[in-house]
Amino acid sequence: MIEFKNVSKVYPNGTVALKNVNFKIERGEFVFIVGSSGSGKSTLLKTIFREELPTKGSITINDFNLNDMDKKEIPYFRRTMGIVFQDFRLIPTMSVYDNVAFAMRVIGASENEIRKRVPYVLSLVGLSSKARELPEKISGGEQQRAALARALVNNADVIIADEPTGNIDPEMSIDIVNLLNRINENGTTVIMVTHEHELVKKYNHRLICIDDGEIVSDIPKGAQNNNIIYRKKNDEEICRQKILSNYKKDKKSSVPVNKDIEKMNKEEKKKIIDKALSGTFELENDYSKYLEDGEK
Amino acid sequence: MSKKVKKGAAFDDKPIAPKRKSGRKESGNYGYLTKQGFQSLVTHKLMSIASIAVLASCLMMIGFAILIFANINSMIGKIESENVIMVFIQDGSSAEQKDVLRQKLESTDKVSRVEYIPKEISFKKQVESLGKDAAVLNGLEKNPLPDAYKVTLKDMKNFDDVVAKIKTYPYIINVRENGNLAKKLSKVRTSVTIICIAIILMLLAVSMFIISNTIQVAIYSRRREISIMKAVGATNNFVRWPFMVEGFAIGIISSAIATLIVMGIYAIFTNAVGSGFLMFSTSVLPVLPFIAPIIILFLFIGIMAGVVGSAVSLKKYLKEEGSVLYEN
Repeated sequence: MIEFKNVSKVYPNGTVALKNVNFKIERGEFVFIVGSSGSGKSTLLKTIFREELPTKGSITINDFNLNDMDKKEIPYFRRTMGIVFQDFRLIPTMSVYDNVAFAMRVIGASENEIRKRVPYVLSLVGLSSKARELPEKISGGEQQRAALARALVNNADVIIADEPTGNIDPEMSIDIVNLLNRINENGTTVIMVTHEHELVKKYNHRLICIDDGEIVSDIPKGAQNNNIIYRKKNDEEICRQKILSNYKKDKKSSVPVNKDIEKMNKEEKKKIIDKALSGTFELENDYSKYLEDGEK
Repeated sequence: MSKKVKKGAAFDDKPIAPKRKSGRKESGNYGYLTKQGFQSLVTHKLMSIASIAVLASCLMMIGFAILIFANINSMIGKIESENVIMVFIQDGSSAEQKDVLRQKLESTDKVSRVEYIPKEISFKKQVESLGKDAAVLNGLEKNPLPDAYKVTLKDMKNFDDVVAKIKTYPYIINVRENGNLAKKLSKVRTSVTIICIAIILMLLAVSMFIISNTIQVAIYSRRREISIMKAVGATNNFVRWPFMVEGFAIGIISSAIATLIVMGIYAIFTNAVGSGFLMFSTSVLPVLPFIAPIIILFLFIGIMAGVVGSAVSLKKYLKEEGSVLYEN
């Protein structure tokens, strides 16, 4: 379980990286985090990893309170998480097997445990036949699967994947996300940071969009098709204005009242939204409340 | 079996997370890491060779400085030991009186040796030293020289005080000494000691600086490894360990190389000197007694530099620069 309560982060040079961020991720959820570079996404990950402390607010992750955690506790806290990097970060001089085993050795597992566990995890990610290869000898997708195996090997409660598909081709990307899905189905919480809207749409998991240090939308699992996803800080306000003005313009003819929206099918909803937004936004909005506003 | 699990065939046999408390508190697998430390000497060949070369060069400079200092010191010692006080005894003193004087001289502070020189021997030496001109002595009816004690001092400090004290003893006609030379030698010895210690300390400081820089470069080149270790939950001690082992190994290898080179060159030098190649042959110290202390000193400095250098460089790295998520 991950909980951010009123978290703000201001760096010593005055940069405001996070502004009053609130969210809660339950055990077993799959969450996409989307944000452009400079949106505060990196700081968000850093605070999750207890590399940075928030200036304000509290963070609780896997029963660890990050605000008043002793420094010596940090490594043990990190062991409850598995991390996957965009650039894989495999140690080039070690074989795939040793890269995965490395994570176990670091936390003091015996060679006996390692011999049992590593081949099993490699088989989960489909890399059994590449165990003895050096990272440079295998494809990008395979390298990312090796990195995923490393994140999995210590039974992390949460897998954090920081743009795991950023450096691999689209087909392999689907592979990686499928793998993350399977891991998630087995009860592990997965948080995936990504730029790729297509992937986000395809899987329809919970989606958190972050811009300029603020969470601009938090769409629950399976609700992407019924909502407009604001990706930028001012999207919501612009959207609201547009819907209102359009609604006022042809109140009598085309825009239905709140009750009617519930009865509409997806196509009809989309039509209204398209009209309201004149194609500026990608997905659909939870627009009913704005229509209600407009009626006042 | 539920539909969900069937989706991922590979997940069928075992749960992905065996029942074990995550975040367990064991320390790392140190045996493995020690091996890693030694292995990385080989995998990071260039960096290891650079570190060893730097450390061995520093040790060699220190070694040569020490040998030069020891030799200068021993030469001064030799010159000093020849700077003796001649105490001439009153003619006609009885054997008992001479004995009393001897005892007094021997019990004097700073005196290391008292040697009786009968006048016959002094005369013979005089004749020898005059060589052809010895004929001038032929006219003498009897040996004009007195019996004497040759007094050697432990060191040249307070030379004048000792002479003044000896002058108060009975049965003495005269004391011959060279106070000026003694004072000069004493000064030379003090300044040589100070200069040598300063040079050795400076070399030591410079070596530490170069070594810590070399290690920092080596550690910087491995920041990826460090960030992975931190990301998977390695304790700081665990991150440090292989680097310390590596520093230890570099220290030992460097001190072995430096010992071989310094001792080898010194042995060749003493051999050349021993075969009459150089004038000051008798003053050059032999190799043998130096071997053990030099090995111990080199090992000490080498290991300290390697291990402490690694630890200090890493401390900075772990605190300020090592990012789990983003490489610097």
